This record gives sequence, structure tokens and C-alpha cells, in this order.
Amino acid sequence: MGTSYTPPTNRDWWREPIERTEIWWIVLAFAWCIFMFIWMTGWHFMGPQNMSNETYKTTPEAYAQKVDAMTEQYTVRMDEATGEPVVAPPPGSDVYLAAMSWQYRPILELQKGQKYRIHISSYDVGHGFSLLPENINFQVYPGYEQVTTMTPNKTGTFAIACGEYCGGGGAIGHHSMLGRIYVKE
Amino acid sequence: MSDSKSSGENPHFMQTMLDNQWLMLILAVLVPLVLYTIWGLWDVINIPTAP
Repeated sequence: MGTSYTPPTNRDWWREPIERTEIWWIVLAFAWCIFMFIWMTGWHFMGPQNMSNETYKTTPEAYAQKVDAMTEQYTVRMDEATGEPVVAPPPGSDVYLAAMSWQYRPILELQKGQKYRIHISSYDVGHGFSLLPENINFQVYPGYEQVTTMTPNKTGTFAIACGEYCGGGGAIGHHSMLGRIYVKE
Repeated sequence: MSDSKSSGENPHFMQTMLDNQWLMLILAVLVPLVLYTIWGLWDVINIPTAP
């Protein structure tokens, strides 16, 4: 039979007969690999993660202008809990969310059942966008603007957690980086 | 299995390929380089600028 570091003793090894159980094992393992490979495509369209984002190249400065313009136009109040502006953009519109060390800005107030084009980018380093408790999680980069269409289907207060370690220490940093989305009827 | 091909003088095409260590090395480098690195860079280069 040979060993792993010597050539096979049978020089015509391809034609060496294989045990029936080994053939079954190879066939089943290969069939499962192909099935999972095809199902990756299925999960991409049907699963709650791996969203297809439109992506655009941008700069933090250009993106900040869009965030600030939207914030200025649609601020409805200051949030009692955090003191940050709460922005209520009209349904169907483009909503601009910024990730930065170490917060998300602004706080959004959305309507249940309405569609929004959520744009997100980072001002400094790589962050994560993880909408809790939903199973949504993707990376957010400076210089890239990603657009995801979302329709909130539940009212309440939802947290955005950062899933990519982005530094900080002591009282403030990645571990305390949270954003907020309020969803109303 | 007892035909002239099993004499070892005319190995199977698959065996010739798999026994060719240089071909295996080239494929091992080229396949991930093209499908992963080059395709990935092409995707990133083609990201449009934000309107």
C-alpha cells in the first residue's frame, strides 16, 4: 500500500479497486458538498443575513454632509435618554446613518410597515452594524456607503451594536458602542 | 480490470494529472488567486462612486 511519504506500491493506483463502502462514502460526501454549495445561494436570498447591499465609494466628509443634511431636515426632538437628535425621515426616503468611534448617529425614528433605504458608512475605522435582536449583522467601512432596504415589522426600541472591534478602553469604546432605532406605528 | 491498460504502461488520464506535482502546484496557486484575490479586487475596483 505504501505510506504517506513513499509512492504507492501499485504504480497503476487509479485502477486499483475501491471497496464499496468507500465509494458510497465518497459519493455521499461529494453530494453533500454540492448540495451545501447550491444552498448557499438559497440562503443568500432567503436567509435573514448576508444581505445584498448596494455599495458606493464615498469619503467621510461627503457622507457626513448627507448625514448632517438629513439630521437638520428631519430632527423631531432630542432624545431624553442620550441627548442625541432623533430623526424621523419620511417613509420611502433615503436614511443616512453614520458609524464612528464610538457611537451611531443619528437616532432614527421609523414607522412600522414602511420601507426605508438605509445608507450606512463609517467616519473613521471599520465598525459593525448589528441590529438587535434581529439576525442582521454586517461590516461598515470608511470610504464605502452601503445601502440596504429595510421595512420595520415590529414597534419598539431597537439597539444597534458594533460587531467589529474598534478600539477604546476604560469607560468608553467598542464595548459601549450602541445606536438606537425607535419604531412607531 | 485485466486488460492491457492495467499493465501500468498506459496509466489513466486522471492518474497522470494527479501524479504531476508541478501541475498540482500551479493549480493550487492559480485557482485561489484567480477566483478569490483577482475576482475580489475586480469587484472592489468596480464599485461605483456615490451619487
